[in-house]
Amino acid sequence: MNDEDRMGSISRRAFLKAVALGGTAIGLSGAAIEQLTRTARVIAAPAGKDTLVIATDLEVTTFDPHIVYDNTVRITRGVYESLVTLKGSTPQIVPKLATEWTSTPDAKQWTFKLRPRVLFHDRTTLAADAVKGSFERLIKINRGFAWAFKTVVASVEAPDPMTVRFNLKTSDPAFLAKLAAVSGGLIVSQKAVSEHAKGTDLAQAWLKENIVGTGPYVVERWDKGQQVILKQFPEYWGGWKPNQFRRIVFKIVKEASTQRLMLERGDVDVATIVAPDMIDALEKRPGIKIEESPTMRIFYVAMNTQREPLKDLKLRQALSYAFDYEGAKQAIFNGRLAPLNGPLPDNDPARLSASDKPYRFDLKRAKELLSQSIYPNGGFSLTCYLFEGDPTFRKAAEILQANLKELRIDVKIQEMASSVLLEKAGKPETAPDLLPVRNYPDYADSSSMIGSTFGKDSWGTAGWNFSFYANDRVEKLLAVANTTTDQAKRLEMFREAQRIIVAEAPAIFIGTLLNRVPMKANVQGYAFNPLLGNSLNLYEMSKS
Amino acid sequence: MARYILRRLALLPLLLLGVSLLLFVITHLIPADPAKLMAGPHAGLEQVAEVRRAFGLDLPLPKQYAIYLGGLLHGDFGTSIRTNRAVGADLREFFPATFELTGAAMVLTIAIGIPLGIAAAIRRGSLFDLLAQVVSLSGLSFPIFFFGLLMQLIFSRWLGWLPLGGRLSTEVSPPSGPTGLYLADALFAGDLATLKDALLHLALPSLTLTLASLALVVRTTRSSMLEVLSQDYIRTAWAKGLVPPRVYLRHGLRNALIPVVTVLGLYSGGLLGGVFLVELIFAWPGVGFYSVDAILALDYSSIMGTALLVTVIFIVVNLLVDLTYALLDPRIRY
Repeated sequence: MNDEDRMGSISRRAFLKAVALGGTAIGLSGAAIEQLTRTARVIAAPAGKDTLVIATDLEVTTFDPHIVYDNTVRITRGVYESLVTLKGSTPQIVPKLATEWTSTPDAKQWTFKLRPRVLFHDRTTLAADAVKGSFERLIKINRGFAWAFKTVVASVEAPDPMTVRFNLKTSDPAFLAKLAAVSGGLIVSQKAVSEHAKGTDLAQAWLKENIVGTGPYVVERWDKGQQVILKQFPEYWGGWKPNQFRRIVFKIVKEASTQRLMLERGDVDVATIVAPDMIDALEKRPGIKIEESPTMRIFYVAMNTQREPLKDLKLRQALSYAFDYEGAKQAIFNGRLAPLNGPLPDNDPARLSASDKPYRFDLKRAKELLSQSIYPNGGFSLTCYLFEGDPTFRKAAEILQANLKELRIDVKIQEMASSVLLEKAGKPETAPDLLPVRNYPDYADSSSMIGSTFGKDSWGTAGWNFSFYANDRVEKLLAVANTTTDQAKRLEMFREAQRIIVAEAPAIFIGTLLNRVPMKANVQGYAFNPLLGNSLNLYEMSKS
Repeated sequence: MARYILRRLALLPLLLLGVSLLLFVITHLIPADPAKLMAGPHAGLEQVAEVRRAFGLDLPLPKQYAIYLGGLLHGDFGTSIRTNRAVGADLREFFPATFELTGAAMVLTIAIGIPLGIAAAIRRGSLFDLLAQVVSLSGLSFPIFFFGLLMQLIFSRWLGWLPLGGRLSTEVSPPSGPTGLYLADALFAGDLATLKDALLHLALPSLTLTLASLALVVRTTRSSMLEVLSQDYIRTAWAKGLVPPRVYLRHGLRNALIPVVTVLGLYSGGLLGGVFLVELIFAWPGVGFYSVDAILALDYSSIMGTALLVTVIFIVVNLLVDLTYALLDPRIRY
């Protein structure tokens, strides 16, 4: 018998031994699989009616209410509260920790009456000194949303324990809206701050991992990188109804497809980072619904107005006519997009009407305008940068690229990491000619969006003005509006500023985004905060 | 042997110095400003300057590097601009998860790959050989995230056997223990329920990592075994009438293992690379999960800390591989 044969053969005894071993292994693995299945079924069991499980993409780095300025507000909104807030999905401002307020006619002094019998999680009572201390801490730390108050607030006073007064350096009719923002003006227990402060850190080290607010929930557990579990604060001033959630679990899942599978499988009740095409697929699944709400987020393509060739007004107008708005709405958002007729979103009281925006998809008009520009026959190229990994930006850029081919304009698309893109887009010399972006106001006042998107002080990353647009008349209108207390007059000034901007076409205004959150069909009471994508009003929600 | 180990370990600081310099240059060459990213999209210039000052990013680059090196000498990896914590503390938090996952994948790769390779060599040309090759090659051909999603679909979504992601179920508290390795800590604490839960969560990500690297081990074991089995001393062993397991395992495998061990050592590097994607797909809170945010925020200290840690592991594993040669083949001496 040669080696080859020997290797290929096996003795009867060895064969029987192998069969016996194999049989035992199969039996054992069968038992193991059955055991596994039984356990896994328990794991896959959906959370009870008293628990809400949310898949979120952002790992928490700090809970400090005066530093958090990212999606962590989804969690901090459940544990900290502000003086005023927005009503449901609207930009309307309603009381929260303050029950009533007044301002002087020049809007330089704002006085708030505090809600009585409000307890912090450390069982101290809310009083004016807590509000004063919180705002002083916010301004001193100077991170996150502090910029909105630092330049405005001269002092905070506590004339009596239940009254707090803000003295401003200048008139600020938008001050109330700033207080109702999703981050910034959150009130923290001063007892906790003074007890846990180390040196001059204002308890930053401690408040990074601990929470002492007045909100309905407290942190039960934080497994870093994995999950944050909140539980009811029994003495919450709003009281508790039986159907409200006793626990909220935020699971950190960064991969969108995993979030989708978790929702389909019932592991989570709400998914927060699902791409538009995945949402359409989820909509057809039984037991899953899509909550759709209007937002204050606008979607547009910024055009670099400070550099050739788009410095030419006729060229920018030509591009505004060359974009297929309806096609983009269908292709990118499956038709789910609200109008955008200027810089302000569709739910802003100072928004423009359709008649204010002349641009429609009209290649003939685009060619006419092109013929009046510095490049009458086209034949040049434009750079278009994209934030990495966002399909909506890519699709918008590709549609524009295809449309502009008709004008003999070549669009060179380049996708890059956001850190690199933001650095390049920070200066007009290095910024691309075209940049598809989303923008949302920091607070629900028309001045915030117009100022940050097209204001002179907001060029590049100083705000979000990637068109590097500046117009003296617009600046003047915004400045006057920011010191005018007559709301009707303010709105008219914002409208006039927008009409000037639209005429000068520093951007291709595509649409106002709708917020679409996939969740289990039995989740009730969800209202979207129009300022922030996928933020949740945990206290009002329940399961049927 | 001891002198050899000491010599190799003495090289470690030099290597780390080189790697740290390279990393420092590469990360700082990226045309982006982490302070701007950290301060947020609407932050004023003054706020950005304050972040830059707080983290020493306003200092000249050579000075920044010197400060970083000085810290490294004291075991300080710097402070993360993103989490505002010591990078060392962050890594201690996240590394055990990665170690557990890669360790499990390594054990599975050895436990499945080597027997498959041996069996394929013994049954060369048979249907089993063909199947083993197809299965292992498909692992090499598909991208790792594809495998991850496929595993999630089959075992979690359709069969409902295993959890989709995470290290533990929501209701299960992490076991308190010194290692941060849930399996070990739960075992030491005698907490069998947590151990089972941790095992179930570990199954899919570790299998995904294993499948992606199985091909290399199976093919190396098979070809190495085939070469050894054709040697004269194997013929002698058969002629002496030894039973097949003794011939294959004692005389064959031991001599065939050296290339396999080499591949496993190199594979540990690939494993640490692959684990980043797997952690992302399976929401596994390890170093990869941590690094993704660090890279996006251009968190220099965290990126460098992670990369240095991976470098040290790679060097130590390959030192162990070299030492294993001496155990497998007495002719090799250091």
